[in-house]
Amino acid sequence: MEKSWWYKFWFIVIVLFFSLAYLIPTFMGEKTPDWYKKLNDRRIRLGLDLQGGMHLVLGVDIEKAISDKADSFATDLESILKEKGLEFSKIERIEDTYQIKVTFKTPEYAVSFEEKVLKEYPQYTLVSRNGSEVTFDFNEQYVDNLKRTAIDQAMKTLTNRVDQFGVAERSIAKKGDNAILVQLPGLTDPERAKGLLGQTAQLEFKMVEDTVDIFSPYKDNLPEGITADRYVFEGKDGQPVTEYYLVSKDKDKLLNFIKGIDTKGYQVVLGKEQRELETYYKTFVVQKKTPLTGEFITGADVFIDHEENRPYVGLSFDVQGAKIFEKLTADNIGRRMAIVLDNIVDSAPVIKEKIAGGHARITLGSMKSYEELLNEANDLAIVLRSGALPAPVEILEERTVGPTLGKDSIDRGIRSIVIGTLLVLLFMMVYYKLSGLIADFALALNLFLILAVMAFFEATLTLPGMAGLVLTLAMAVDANVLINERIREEIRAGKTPKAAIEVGYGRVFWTIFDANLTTLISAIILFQFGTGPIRGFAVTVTIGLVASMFTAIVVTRLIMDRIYHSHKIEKISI
Amino acid sequence: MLELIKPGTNFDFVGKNKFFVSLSAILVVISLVFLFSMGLNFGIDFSGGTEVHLKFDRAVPVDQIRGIVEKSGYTKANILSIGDEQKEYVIRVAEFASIKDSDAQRIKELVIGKYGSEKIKKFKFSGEAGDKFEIKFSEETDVSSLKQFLISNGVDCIDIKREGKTTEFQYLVILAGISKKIQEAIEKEISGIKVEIIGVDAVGPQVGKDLRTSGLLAAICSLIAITIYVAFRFDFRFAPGAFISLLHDGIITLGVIALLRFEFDMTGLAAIMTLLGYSINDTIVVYDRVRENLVKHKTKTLPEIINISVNDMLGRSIITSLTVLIVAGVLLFYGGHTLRTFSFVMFFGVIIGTYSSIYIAAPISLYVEGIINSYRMKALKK
Repeated sequence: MEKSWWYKFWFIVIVLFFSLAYLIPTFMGEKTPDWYKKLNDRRIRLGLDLQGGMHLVLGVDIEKAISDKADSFATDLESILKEKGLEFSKIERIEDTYQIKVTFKTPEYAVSFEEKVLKEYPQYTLVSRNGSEVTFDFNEQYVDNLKRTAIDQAMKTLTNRVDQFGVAERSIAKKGDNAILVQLPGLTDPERAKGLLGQTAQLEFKMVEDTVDIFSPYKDNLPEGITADRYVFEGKDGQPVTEYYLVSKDKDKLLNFIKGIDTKGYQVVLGKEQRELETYYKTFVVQKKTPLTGEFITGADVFIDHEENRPYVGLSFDVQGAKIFEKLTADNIGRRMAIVLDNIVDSAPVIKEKIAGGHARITLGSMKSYEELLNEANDLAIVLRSGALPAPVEILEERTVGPTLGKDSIDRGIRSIVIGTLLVLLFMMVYYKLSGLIADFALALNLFLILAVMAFFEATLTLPGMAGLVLTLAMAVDANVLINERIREEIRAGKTPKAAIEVGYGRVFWTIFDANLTTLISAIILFQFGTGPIRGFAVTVTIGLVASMFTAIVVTRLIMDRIYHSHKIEKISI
Repeated sequence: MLELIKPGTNFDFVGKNKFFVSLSAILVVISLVFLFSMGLNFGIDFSGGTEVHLKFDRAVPVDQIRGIVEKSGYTKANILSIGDEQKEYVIRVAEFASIKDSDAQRIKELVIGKYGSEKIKKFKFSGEAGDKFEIKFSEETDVSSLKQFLISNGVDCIDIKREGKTTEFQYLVILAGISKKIQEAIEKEISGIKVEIIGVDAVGPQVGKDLRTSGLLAAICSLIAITIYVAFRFDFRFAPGAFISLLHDGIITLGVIALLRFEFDMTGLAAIMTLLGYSINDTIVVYDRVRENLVKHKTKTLPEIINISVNDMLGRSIITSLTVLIVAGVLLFYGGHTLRTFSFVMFFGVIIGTYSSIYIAAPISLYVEGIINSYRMKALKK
């Protein structure tokens, strides 16, 4: 035998060996020995359509996010203007734009607003000032920046939330300009996932107005289920101050009651309080304006205070946030600052000193065990870190596959592959006899190789992918049909089998190459365009085409050469 | 030796050109008529909407299911029974959100009626956004009484959440999805039945539209890319034939899908694109042989050479088509409803693809050759 034949032979043996090595984890699954997993644990992944699970495309509504920002600034503006003594008659948000229009009592106020207030907010630019009316808008740069960062931030937030489910192999990816694709294989409770992903957690820091007495007139006349409690603390001048607040187990009842009373221009928010395993809600009186929101937070982690042996959450702000926070704490020493998450006061620590440097510490309630505190601190850190979604997300596409449907699809896929492959094998054997058998061997090898390459790349197998697999096998036969037909022709022309084989393989290679390449072009374009199962199809077809070139041409040639190595052999079974 | 096509077979393919080209032209026109008059029966990937896959613990006739679904307000539902037992159904409705704009309007009026228009600052519903709507009040509102009010007025409200900032009183009303609604309706009508939702596909209308556009683009891209490849790899004269035969295969296959009302979804498109890649195989194989025979038989005319080449490759074309047909048939039989369109496109497409490479691609190449020759003659005469 020629030397080069043996080189090829050993090459194929090595390819086979590695294929087998890469396929073991796929076929043995959890039974794969641990020592083997350490060496190689790559396996073919099952697509959502086979494994069951959830596929969501979430749209990020950036327009709404920006419009919400304008809404809330319009609300804050009321107190800002009052503070500066600029009298106005109306603040309007102009529909379908981000613009805000303020009508002042006199044109002088309007001028001074433009010069003194608007300049402090670099994100705004003046649209027009017309007498006592001022209209302003977000500047373009600011809007562009928001649009650019919103999707990345939303992705980060969603990733943090999804990770709380503990779903293995979850995937979160950007899709187009303003959508996010979330895949949660094996997830069985789609409603819960949808709820958690869609939440727009909003974090706000607000100053508590402890000195404002709202509830004492009502303290002896409360509806059933609501009680008044007292909170005594040291005021600014060192004198004890008593403040009443309301407590109830029924949140809605409490909210309803508050609605009916005069809050003196302040706002009442509720906070949770744990009392002997039951959750109570209590009131906090806070200022209407929100000086600081969660969008300035860059990090949140749990630390342990070793002196008191208590966990706390350390926060860091970005530059702008740090500046606001420093001013806020400097101006409000001795007062409480409410940390409000989704309208519920999470905690309201007392500001002890001016906090510079952009770091803040949230200490948690003391009536709990170390373990409980640690858990609470962890949860709080997660929420603060993942923070608010910068824009509301909407479900644009939802695909849920239950486990039974997935199982059914796997069965169908395997049945199609087995029956389809067997029929093709049988056909080739009957039509081309020994040469057909050789082609069959190559085909089996091809299937084996495709699966191994898929395992190597940890590719995803889907139901259309399985269809693609069996279809690729059927098309791969084409190469052998071409070769065998050519050999028959050459034999008819009077060539010896060895010569016929040489011409057959030589001539046909480029034909097969060209034919496969066009299918490959379609498959690649399909991969670019398709989603989920279709990508699985494109991947399988691509791998299949490449693998089939190898098995149909190299492997069968090798066997043919071995059998018909001598010119003396005059008959060929084809 | 088993031989499907005996050596020396010499069908006169080129001679019947006129007949088959006219036949194909008629088929293409008829297909286009079907495509434009009936349109494709788009699956939810391309049309948007919701597809619910249900399984019951007992057999229910399809008419009863249709009745219940229609009663729930989905009058144009497409209901497909899976298997023979009448226990498994796929119900497709055109809606993405479980309520319509008119329902939302009615709910808005109800809410305004209860709370007064001065207290409702905003009411927002969008069919694009799914099963929810937003209400912005001017003040804090009791969530549980709002929920009760909505439910008592026939709104399938699951949950109401307050959203946004403390200074804004914005509430998000989450509604039951279409799958839940249909499940509940069936459980209500047929007492004691156990309905299991085994799969839900919901695609928003905008997503559907986007996918349709990008799908069309993908198919066109692949058509052009293949043509360019053929033009450079072979001969520029061959490219128009390849292009037109591909277009021919695509249009006729789509026409048949439209006529038979097969659901055309992403897998269907994948099949069409695979078909384009496959169909050109045949054409390439024939062209390749033409190229070889051009050198071998220098004295023969192009029509003769094409005829010889097609005859040479006939055995191969038929056998390869057969293996693909076998597999496509198996998939059609065992693949289940998800792969039905896919398998059909492959099955039908292989036949039409083989046909077109013989009767369309080759004659067009001849025609192009003719035009080029007559130009040359004119140039020579000058």
